[in-house]
Amino acid sequence: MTYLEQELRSYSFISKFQEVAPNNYDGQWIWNLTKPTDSWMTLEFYKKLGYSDQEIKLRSTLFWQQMFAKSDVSQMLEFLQNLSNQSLYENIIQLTGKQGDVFWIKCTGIVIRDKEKNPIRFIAFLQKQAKVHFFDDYLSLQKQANKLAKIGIWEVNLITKDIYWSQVTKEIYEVPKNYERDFDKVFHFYKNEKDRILLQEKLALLKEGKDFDIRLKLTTHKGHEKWIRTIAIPVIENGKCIRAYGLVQDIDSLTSNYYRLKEQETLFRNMFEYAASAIVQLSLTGDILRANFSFIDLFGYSEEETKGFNIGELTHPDDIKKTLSVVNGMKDGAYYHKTIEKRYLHKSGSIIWAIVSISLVIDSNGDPIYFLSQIVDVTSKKETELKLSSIMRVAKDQNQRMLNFAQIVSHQLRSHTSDMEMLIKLINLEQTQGAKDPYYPMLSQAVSNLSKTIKDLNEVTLIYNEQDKNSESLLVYEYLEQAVQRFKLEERLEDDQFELFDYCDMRINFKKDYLENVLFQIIDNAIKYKSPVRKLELTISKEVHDLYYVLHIADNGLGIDMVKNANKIFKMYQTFHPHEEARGIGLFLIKSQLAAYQHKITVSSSPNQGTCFSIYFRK
Amino acid sequence: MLKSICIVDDSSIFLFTAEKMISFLNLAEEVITFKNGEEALTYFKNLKNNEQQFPDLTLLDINMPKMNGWEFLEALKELSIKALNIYIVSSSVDPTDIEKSNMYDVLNGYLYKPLSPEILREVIENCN
Repeated sequence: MTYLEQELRSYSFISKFQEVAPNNYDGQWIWNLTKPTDSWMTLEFYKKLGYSDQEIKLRSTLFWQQMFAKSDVSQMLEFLQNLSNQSLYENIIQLTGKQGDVFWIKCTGIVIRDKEKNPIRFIAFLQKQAKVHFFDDYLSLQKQANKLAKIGIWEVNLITKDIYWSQVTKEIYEVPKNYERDFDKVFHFYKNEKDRILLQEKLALLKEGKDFDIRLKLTTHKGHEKWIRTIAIPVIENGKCIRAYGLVQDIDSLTSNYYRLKEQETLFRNMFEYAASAIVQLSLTGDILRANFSFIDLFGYSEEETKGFNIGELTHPDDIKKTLSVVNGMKDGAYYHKTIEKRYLHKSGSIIWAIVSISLVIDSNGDPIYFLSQIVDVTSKKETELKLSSIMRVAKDQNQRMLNFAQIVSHQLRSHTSDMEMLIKLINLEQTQGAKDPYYPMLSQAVSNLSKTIKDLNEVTLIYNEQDKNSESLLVYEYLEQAVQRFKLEERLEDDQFELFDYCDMRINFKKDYLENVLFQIIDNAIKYKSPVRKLELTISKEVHDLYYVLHIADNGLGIDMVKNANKIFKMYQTFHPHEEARGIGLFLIKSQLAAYQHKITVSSSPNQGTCFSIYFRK
Repeated sequence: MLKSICIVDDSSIFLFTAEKMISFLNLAEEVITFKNGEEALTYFKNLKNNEQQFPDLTLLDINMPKMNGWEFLEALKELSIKALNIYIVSSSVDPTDIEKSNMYDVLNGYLYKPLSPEILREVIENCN
């Protein structure tokens, strides 16, 4: 259709029109609306859809119609023919490429009319919308924006000063339908002196055949202020400009829509291209259609190499079955999204551990079109995990051996010391010669000490031995009451010596005997190591943390020098005050008992001020 | 005073001190000692049809070579030998041992080493 091609080239406003939407266009298209079979499209555009030069050369006049989705052609034609008050067309249409693949094309065009205002030509700019295709959300936004972007047209006869305003133009100016248009009154809409001067200058130039494209601040008939953009195109007849037509755009809403769209588009593109995790678009059979930078980085193949792969070839052979079962479940419609852990193979052959989120994308008919996989590389985490679990195994094994050793030692020692103790008892009983030996009392004491030490050791090994046993759900409040009661009965504590706060709802998992022992030991310590000059005061309070219930038991006793003793306090056989009953095992035992059930204990203290034990019960 | 007490223990010191203590306290006319379960079992097997000659009290250790305390109790059960007043006497404070001892009806109790004259007296009183 060379006449159409020549005609297209003759329109001077094409370059101007291209600015209306500021993206680069992939092709131009002219369509004869009086003879809809006639149309011409830029050769480059055919190429972009995958056609060869030969195919383009030999194309028939109806060739373009085969590419358009049938529904789009009829809908577009109908729309353009009935176009009475709007000359700008903007929509997204479907075109089928050489390979049968569907392209989404943004089509922005203008209708050209003859003197009787009948539409004769449609000139459009075409833009491949890969991103629109890719992100359905963007598509719907774009459609919405088309509705919102108000573009009206106007026409003025410079001789008769007749003015035509389209419905949208009237809406933009907010004038009543029957508004009487007067060319001179047009200036009343622009309150700004600068705008009026600008418009006047441009109109003068228009008469000389020069088009314009300006932004003005409009005050509507109803008094609203808004920014508009107006484009004027002169129509020259016999070397004289007799009329002009143009577009008026409400850019107050357009600008915001445009920027919102641009932001969305950039966001989506950046999300895909520069996402920290690898994202890949896969055909329904697993061929790689598109991969982002992270994907290329992760697998070590070049962008070109990557596109030639099927994802199955990059999957670890042992995980193919697992992947297929997930993918097939999606194709069957069981679910549209699934996250799995699987292994891939790097170009070097090394294993990539990954958490993969696979989504099946469906079209508006509900048919699956492609997969989108997001791959998070967890190799280093996995390796650490494997290493850690092997270390854990070794540690557990060693721990078990230590425990066995401790058990055997303490058992064997116990049987020997019991023999020694029985001998001592026998000597005492029979009052033999040995009983009169001056060394005998010391030997007897040594045996008794040894026996106590072994008993302590035994208790500790028992705690660790019981770790696997079930815990009980215990109300701390009840056990605190019990402990306090016990000390009161023994007359070691009086009512006015302790203060309890709101700890009623602290329910913990622990062992009954251990909880009793922990509370007993701490209160017992407070009583044992009270200040000789102050009356003992116990303050018991609680705190709730994310992971723990914390019970604070504070006293005003002798205190411990934390600077010197911070590291020793919970160790075995450490005593900090001379006291007849001090064995140095109590705190070590309670720490062990708490630790066996993942609880913790800490202490803060100042000499002569007091000590505060904080018990962290894991929730 | 009991007629006879049987003590099964691999510690010769325990056997010696326990026997000495019993005789010093005049708690039994006769103390029979064995170094392991096997020796004791032979003794009981020989007396099988002569139950009136069974010891009035048996103090049984758990950990012994050849046949331990548990194995000894199993063997008695298998041979239907109804020995009287058997006590475990052990230095083990392992709860699993104590739990296990509860499973034998034939046992009268679990005593911890070292034995003291007080405990011995109490046990013997319970036997009468």
